[in-house]
Amino acid sequence: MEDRGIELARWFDDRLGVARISKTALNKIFPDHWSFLLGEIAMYSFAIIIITGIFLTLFFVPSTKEVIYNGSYVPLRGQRVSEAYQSTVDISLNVRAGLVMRQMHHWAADIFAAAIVVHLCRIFFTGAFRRPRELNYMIGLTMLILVIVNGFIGYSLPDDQISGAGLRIAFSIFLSIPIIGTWGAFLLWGGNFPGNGDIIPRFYSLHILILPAVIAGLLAAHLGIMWHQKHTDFPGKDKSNRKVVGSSFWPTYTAKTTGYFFIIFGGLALLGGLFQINPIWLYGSYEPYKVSYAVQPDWYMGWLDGALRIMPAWETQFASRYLISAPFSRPGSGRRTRPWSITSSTGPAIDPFAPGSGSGSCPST
Amino acid sequence: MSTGGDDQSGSDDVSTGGENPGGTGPGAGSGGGTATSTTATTVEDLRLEIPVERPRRAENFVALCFTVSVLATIGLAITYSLGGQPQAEGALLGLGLAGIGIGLAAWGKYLMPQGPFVEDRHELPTTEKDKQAFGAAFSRGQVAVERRGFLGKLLGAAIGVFSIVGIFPFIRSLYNPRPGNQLDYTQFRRGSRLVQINGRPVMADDVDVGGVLTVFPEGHEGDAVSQTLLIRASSVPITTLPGRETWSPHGYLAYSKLCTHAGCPVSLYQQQVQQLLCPCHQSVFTILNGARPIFGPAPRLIPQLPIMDNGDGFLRAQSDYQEPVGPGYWERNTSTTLNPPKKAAGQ
Ligand code: HEM
Ligand code: FES
Repeated sequence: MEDRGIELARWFDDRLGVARISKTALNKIFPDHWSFLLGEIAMYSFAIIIITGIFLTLFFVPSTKEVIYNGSYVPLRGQRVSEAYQSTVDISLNVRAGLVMRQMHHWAADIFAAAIVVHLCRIFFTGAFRRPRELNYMIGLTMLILVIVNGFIGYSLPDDQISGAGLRIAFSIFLSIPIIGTWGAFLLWGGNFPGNGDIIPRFYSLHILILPAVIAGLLAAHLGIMWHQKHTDFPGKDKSNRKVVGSSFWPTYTAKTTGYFFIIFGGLALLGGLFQINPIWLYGSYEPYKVSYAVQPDWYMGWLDGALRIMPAWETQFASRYLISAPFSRPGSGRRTRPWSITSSTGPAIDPFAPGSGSGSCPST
Repeated sequence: MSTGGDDQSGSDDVSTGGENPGGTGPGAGSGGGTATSTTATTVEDLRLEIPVERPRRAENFVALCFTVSVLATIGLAITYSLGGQPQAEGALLGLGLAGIGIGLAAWGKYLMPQGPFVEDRHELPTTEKDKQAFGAAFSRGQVAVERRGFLGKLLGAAIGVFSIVGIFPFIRSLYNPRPGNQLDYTQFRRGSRLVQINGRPVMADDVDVGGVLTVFPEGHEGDAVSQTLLIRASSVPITTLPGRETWSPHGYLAYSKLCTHAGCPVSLYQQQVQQLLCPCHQSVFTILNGARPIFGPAPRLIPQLPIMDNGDGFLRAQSDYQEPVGPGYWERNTSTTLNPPKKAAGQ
């Protein structure tokens, strides 16, 4: 057995000359601290997202073509639904282990983003982003953004009532971008909202191929740079800028980190099996004229939802021809002076600087 | 021997295992502060001592974990082949994986050498000599390229033109159709009958006071842009704003269903206070004076559709909306809505 192993190692070394570098790798020292686990949670969530995502691709149909639902979920029978919606309901209710996989995928997305944020906090508050690690900090931030975007896109794929409302809002946000907004929104959606069926297939290739590939590439760079630069560490005995203190990659760290992978995998399986998330068969297929009162995005989109809520209700007209929509309109950008002027029909309620804004009005009065 | 580990339980009984090939003591062993141990990787020293005093207990625990995993996974296979059950699948899959995971992590933590080992951090920047060698290597090529500077510029032009022209059909082919003025108009025309989603035209006495319906222009049922909320706010016409005297036969008010904030369907009608509430970000509009927003992020009044009853009982549009519906966009010419006639907010 051992001879076989050595035999194999020799075979590779004869061809690739990797014995020395592999030895260095096996002996690499990893400092021990619980907070180094945060990044691992993120990385392993990504791995699990890919595994469960591949399962989902086997059954999901990225199409908004309308069909009459005729499946096993009685309340939906006879309703016009999109193929994307129907296939997601089928994954949930008919495909064996489909619901577990779907819910694991969704939970993994939430945990993934959360792990990145907490990991980022560790990096930030311990100053680990400083020279020479700025590159990795930027890569990490980029991945966070991509994960949030891909999470939103994935959430939109089932084409259910709630995610459809989210897409409507996303379209409107695109529209609000000055100069290029309208064209950008039409480009992405293939026409005015809800588009002519282009958005789900396009989102699909972004979701399962393009963005994951970019994230995987960045992750490889992230790990490579981290490996090369070595971990930061907390102060302690024998620790210094010149030394890394900890356990070795082989076998201790290997066993622990592989163990963590399985623990996270198992934890996500428990979440996916026991805790319901996004029961889309209850929401119905998206119809633009319907709306649910439960329109809430996943937690990692909360910043955008919150920003939409607190943004003052201003629109600015520019050169008496163009409109700068609420998110980009700024108080003081030439208010009441031509060629700028601001429409603010809620002035007294929201704008503290508007004349006569003594009393706000609120909906219940 | 004391070690430098920070949080490993029982790491005190790690001892250095004699000579190590590197010729120096392990970093932790020299005990003389940070700068004393000078050479690299002391991990070559095969210190197989493990952190726990009673390895048997740890061994048993790990064995238990792996056994649980095997049993759970067999259970999973049985559940699955019997037709599956989500909660059972999740629980068994979770146990099967977590058993492997906890077992492995415990094996690593209690039954494998913990060190602590010390490794040098190398200097990241290379030496001045390396940098100069790199510079020399680069300039050698640079000289060769710059000698034919003209060709270089032509190459740049070729690649540049190719990129621009090459990207154009890619982007252009996605525009189908182009925005044009699609955002400015809906499908309502003069005389369009108001119909429900199932195509059924709305008659003047279909809705009681206090009732609402979602309506579309006939032939465009379900159209996302034209969707309109028809509210029977009263039994007599209501003038919501000056100039709209004839817009609400029989007390029917027709407002675009698209929120002027981000386009959600504004659909909650609160009859008591004659307000509309948008569920997405809670903008509130007062319907008796032109759907003026009085709370929330919506910046504009919701456009009102002028409707009529020609005497045949059908509700019809007098025309399209007189301004673009929905959220703002760059090309939206706001002159019609700028400085709308002011009325007090609220009722
Ligand atoms: C950054 C990585 C990813 C994130 C954050 C993410 C997130 C999500 C989310 C939140 C959903 C909605 C799930 C639901 O229905 O409740 C989803 C759906 C989906 N994802 Fe991903 N995903 C990622 C990567 C992938 C990859 C790599 C694949 C395939 C290889 C994939 C395949 C799918 C498929 C097919 C669906 C639609 C089926 C469904 O909605 O259940 N995803 N994704
Ligand atoms: S979409 Fe109506 S308040 Fe935001």
